[in-house]
Amino acid sequence: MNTYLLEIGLEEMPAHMILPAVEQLKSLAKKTCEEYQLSFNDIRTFSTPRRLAVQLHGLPQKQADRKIELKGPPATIAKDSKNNWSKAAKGFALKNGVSVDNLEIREFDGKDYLFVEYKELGKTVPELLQAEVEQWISKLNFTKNMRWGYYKMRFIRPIRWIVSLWNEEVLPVKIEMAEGWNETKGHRFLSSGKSVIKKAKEYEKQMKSLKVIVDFEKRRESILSQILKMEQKYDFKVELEDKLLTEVTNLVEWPTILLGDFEKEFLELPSEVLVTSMAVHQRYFPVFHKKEDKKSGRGDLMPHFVTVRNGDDKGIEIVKRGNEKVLRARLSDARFFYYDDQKKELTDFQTKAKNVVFFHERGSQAQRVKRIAELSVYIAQTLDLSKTQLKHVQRIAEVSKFDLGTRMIAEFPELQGVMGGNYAQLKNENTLVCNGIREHYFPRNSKDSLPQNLETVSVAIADKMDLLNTAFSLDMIPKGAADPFGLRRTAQGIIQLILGTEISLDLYDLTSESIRLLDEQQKLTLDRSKLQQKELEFLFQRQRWYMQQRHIRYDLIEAVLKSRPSVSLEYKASPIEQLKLAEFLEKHLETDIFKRSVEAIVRASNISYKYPNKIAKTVEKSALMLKQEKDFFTSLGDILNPDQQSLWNPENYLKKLYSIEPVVTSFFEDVMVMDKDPVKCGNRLWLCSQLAKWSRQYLDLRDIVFS
Amino acid sequence: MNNSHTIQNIILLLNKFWNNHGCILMNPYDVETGAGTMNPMTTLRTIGPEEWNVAYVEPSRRPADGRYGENPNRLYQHHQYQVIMKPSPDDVEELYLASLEAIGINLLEHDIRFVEDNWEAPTLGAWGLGWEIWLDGMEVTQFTYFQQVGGIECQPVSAELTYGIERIASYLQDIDDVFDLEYTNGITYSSIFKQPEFEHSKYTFEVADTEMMIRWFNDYEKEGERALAEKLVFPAYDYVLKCSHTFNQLDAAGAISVSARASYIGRVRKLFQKIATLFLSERCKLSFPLMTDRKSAQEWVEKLTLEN
Repeated sequence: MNTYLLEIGLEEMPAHMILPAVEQLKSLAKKTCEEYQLSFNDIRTFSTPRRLAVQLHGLPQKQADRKIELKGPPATIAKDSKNNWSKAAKGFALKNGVSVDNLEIREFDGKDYLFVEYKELGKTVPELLQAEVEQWISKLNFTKNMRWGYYKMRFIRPIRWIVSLWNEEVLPVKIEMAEGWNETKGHRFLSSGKSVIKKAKEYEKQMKSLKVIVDFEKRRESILSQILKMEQKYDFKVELEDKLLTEVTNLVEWPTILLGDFEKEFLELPSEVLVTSMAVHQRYFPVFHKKEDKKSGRGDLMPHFVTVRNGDDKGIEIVKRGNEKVLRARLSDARFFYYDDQKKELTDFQTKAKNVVFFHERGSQAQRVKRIAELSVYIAQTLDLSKTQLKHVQRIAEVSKFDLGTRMIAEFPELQGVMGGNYAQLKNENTLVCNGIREHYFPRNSKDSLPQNLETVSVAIADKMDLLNTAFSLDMIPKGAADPFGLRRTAQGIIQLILGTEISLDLYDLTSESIRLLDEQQKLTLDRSKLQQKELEFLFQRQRWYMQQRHIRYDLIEAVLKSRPSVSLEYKASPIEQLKLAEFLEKHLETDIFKRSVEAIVRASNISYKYPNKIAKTVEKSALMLKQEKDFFTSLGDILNPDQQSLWNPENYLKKLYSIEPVVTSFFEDVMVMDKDPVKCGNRLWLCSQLAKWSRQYLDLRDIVFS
Repeated sequence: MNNSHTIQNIILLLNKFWNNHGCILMNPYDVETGAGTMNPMTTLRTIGPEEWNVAYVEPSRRPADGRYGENPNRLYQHHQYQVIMKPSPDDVEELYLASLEAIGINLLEHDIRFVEDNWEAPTLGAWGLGWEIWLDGMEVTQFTYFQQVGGIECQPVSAELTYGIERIASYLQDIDDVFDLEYTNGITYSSIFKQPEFEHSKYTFEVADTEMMIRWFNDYEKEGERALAEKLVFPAYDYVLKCSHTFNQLDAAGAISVSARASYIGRVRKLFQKIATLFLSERCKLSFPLMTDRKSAQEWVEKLTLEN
């Protein structure tokens, strides 16, 4: 059994790109094996900041031989008059590289043809791989590529060496700047120069002797077990955020952890500042008391940090002191800002916001806050919040952005909201307001939590809606991958807020109000309906995404997104009602009665949309002669009962749909809608159009596709 | 105090090291710059096919970072040690690490990391990929492979190494406050720079006539355009530097709104991109004299002449 090893040696790759890259390498290798029908026992990948490697175990020496059968010209021209092979037949044999003795006549599709059959010998696997491996390298795909030196190739970082080994032999591969050989480099500092990999299958073991743990999982395990030991020794808890742990694992080849300390006085800073300084800026793991606080679910911060060094424990005291010095400088800065900011009042920052431009030609930050406040109150009113609640909504919105003017946020922008809440608490703002300042940024991604009360939800929606609206009014609409203001995430946030808290808020009303506020405040004379249309489409896109996450059928999503709940309005769109309707209907979609009902409604819709000018303005009752027409009219009266009409109720809808279905089906079976008599025709179209409109309040059934 | 770690000695050791590795040793530029990158020895020379290896110290002005000489880490003017290697050699990382050893850093006793950092200079229409180099958690160097300068693709690619001299010195001298550093034996950083730091900060934040500076900016821009029209690359570029520094002063003084900011940056970039293009064509007219491979130089000349 054979082993093949490819190692691409690089300058340090960005940590977050390493695992996706090696995954790609793996699937490229697998694809090659599938394509050439090569069996293998195992495929392993290895990666560090300086290398991507793939190792295939149990490869055959040779591809299996294949029987090849080829059809040639018809038998009629295969032999000459003397019953010898004709010129055409000889040519066919020659073309396929076989002797005429291999030719034979076989029947194919009722006729005789010339056939040749031969065995194609499998190529040796090294021969095959040689051609493929270069492709693997050039096909690796990264979001950001670079060039270096004189080379033309683009790659994530400069390639410095290639190891390509078939068992113990070099399998020569060649790219622009490197040739596959058997020489690798070990740890940058703990080993020196080049080292020969002797056997492909012993790669991992040999790299370990060069002080490189090439297996990501094993490096991660090593860090975890070192930390566990430290936790037991000191009886504290190290917070291991998964993303940070993965990043740190991808920054080192030989991890050794160390415990650093900082001065206790810094603990008076908000814990978020300390954690951000450590985890985000320095990639340290923060350390907590074991005893947990019931509310926060974790213990208090301790004046320590854990960092992972790329190397062994030589000079570890020096490394520790150096890291402590860096953290001390950062925390000193933070402490200075923290107390400096507190010397000012919230109003000072609000005044400052008047001179800060939000978007070119869209006013100041202070004006933006004013719009957010008005829109928040509008939303809160729609949600029937109490007077006291409205007061809180107003206050959260007013102070939602003051911290953007603080020095702390200039230095730690990722703490927006958090510092605002903290400073407001120090100025004795209501706790609900303080939490609101922090949480009105929620959700910051698709998995983030939502604000804990409707007061903050109102502000959170208003904040996002105003950003979206302002950007769209300047035609800053995300195209392709470019989305510099994070507008997709913003729109998604609006949908998550509405659907996650199950509030009944109409996107038509929301966009309309937001546009009005901006247009009037900035005196812009915007083309409001055009702008609204663009915003709605953008929001629907995110709504689709949300509903797909809930595994709702695609056709059903399309159908409910076209609902028009009120006949009087051109457009209405309430995400939560649409979601509930879709989730309800999903269970009934494939039943026979539902299918028949859809068919009936679709027929009525199609014909009434086709002849809009022939529909009677009002129904001429005296002209309803046929039983089917009369039944249709009566049933329509039942379902259009005005008491029920205003209620959006999925169960009622389905009940009514089923009740009218037989009447409509028999109507279409027996009645000719497009009668020559314009009164009869007008009446019948009127019946169809009323039915279509009624159903369209809920969804457009024409989008439903049955399997 | 180990006097081999004075700022002066660090600079001497770096000069010696890069001299041994074939760099031209240059001096700071005589027009205000915000970084070693702004010196035309980098901005202009990294454009086009000519080989170029250079090293120099650049006192770099960052008006917004002025703290009246009271902050232990922030300075109106700090010192960068800048190295450009064009084309980037295959062993450039090893060279860099050897330079750290040359100034007395034992690589085995420290933790050295290459942390992803992508560089972009909007006023120069320039970007590159590379790292911040961390020494025991402290960023001590920016390491960048230039991909584009002045909107022109870099061919070949230069490697830029920018050492933060004060940071490295404060680490080696084990000093927390930059003003306590020893510049050379018996002379502290404070005794040289405390007064200018205070005065430049006071000037920037309290005294500078911003209205006049806005006029200057407009005039510098106009004069740069005039020099450009006469095909004078280097004089025109000096006005880019003037514009850039004036803009930094105005920005630090809070005299530029967020939206106006983008437009000032755009104006500088526009001027610089024209200069960059002109630089390339003027070098082409001279047949790229710094290229050792004359045949290749001729090919470049033909290629660029064809493109125009």
